[in-house]
Amino acid sequence: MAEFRHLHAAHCESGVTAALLRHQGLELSEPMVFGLGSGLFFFFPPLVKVMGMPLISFRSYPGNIFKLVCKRLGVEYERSTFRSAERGKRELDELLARDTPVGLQTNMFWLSYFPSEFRSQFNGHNLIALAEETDGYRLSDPMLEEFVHLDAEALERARFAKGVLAPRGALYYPTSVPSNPDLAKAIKVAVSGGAKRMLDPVPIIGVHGIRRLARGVRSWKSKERRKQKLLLGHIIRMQEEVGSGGAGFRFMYAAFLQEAGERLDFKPWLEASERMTEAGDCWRSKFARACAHIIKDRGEDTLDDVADALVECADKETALFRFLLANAPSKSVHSLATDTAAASR
Amino acid sequence: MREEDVPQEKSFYQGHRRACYAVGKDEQYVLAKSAGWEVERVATEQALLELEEQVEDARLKAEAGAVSPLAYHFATRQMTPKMAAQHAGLSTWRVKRHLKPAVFARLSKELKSLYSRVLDVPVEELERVPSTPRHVFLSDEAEANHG
Repeated sequence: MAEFRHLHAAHCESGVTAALLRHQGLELSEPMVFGLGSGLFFFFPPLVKVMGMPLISFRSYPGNIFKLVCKRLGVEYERSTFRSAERGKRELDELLARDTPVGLQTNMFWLSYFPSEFRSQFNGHNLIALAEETDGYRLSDPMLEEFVHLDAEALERARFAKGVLAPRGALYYPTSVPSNPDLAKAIKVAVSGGAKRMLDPVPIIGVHGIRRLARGVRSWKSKERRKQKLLLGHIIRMQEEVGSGGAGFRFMYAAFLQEAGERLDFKPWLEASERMTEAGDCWRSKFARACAHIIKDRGEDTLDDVADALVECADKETALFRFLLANAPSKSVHSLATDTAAASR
Repeated sequence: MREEDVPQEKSFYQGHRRACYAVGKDEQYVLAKSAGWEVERVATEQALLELEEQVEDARLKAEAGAVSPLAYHFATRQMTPKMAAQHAGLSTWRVKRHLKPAVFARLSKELKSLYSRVLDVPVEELERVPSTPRHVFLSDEAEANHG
């Protein structure tokens, strides 16, 4: 088996999936994987609280990107969870002994190779285990630039942490990849599927969820200033930290649309890519910056400005996803070539 | 975001860089690396100071004998009693009882070693809290860098 190449990625799960598939000979860029896995998402349910803060998610359920990409490309895979940590460790060790890189779902708090400022009780972090080595494991964590080492006890704590989204030792790896997958078809399905999901009429997901968050922000005026600031900081952290959510996801999706448009020679996706970049800039420069100003008592921004920025982001994305659904390529559009040049960018 | 606008600002990354996608030459998306973004740092710092406050609050209460040292160790692990209960396989009600100094003082060896394993804190440290305030999440180095 070829030597495993580390992939430094913008999002853990798309990075892990791209690296695992590449190791099996299927070269896809991280944005391509992110797009094929419909990684762009928004979820803001009422009442649900995590550590006293409302649940706001910019990402889909952990494991979803990997599963969707495999399904859409016809990749076969194994995925298991374990009741007993002992069995989970044995299974991992057996796979590694056979030189199989394994994707793992983990809790970030116990990953001691991260700066302490990034360690939090978040159960949806994905990474790749490569080999057992003295006192632990050699890992490829897509958030970092290099391979890392983690001791066995810490990895076990991370894999078997409890609570919301508990990983239950989840491990996954592709078992066989098709030699010539129908990428054009998979992209078409992914683009329309992703757009439909973001336009879903259920008011707590997609663009409607974003509008609901805007209304929520306006309603926080009655709260004390300190609480307002904590809530705004919380949204930014969900957006930027927990897997580089909001703006970062928009830029990655724009990169996906650009690559898809070029591969299939389909102009409307190139236009959609530019518009998605604008949406990302709106999240970044207008929304997140206004939040930071309020937290730091700089400038004149108010909660209404924050909510207006959210509505603007939602408006841009609503128009963009409708545009994508209205401009789907005809059945006759095929992938120009299954070359892998774009993947190495 | 254009490649030249990818933020290279103060952060808590401690030398690490994060990957992100940005528009480069010829309008092509490229993978770029960011050393940090002020907006993100502000939100991170706010959350960490809040967590440090909870840790210090628990430390003072434990010192004053209002709660058991367990409350302090939960805070340093960012765990609520409910989460600690899930990890330990105990009921939340029982774990909350162990936060009472009198109940904690009578805790069996087995339960103490269970908490020691769950929290990754040696048994002898489990029974006390530091005598002076100290940061758990915010490294002093990071603080010095950012004032």
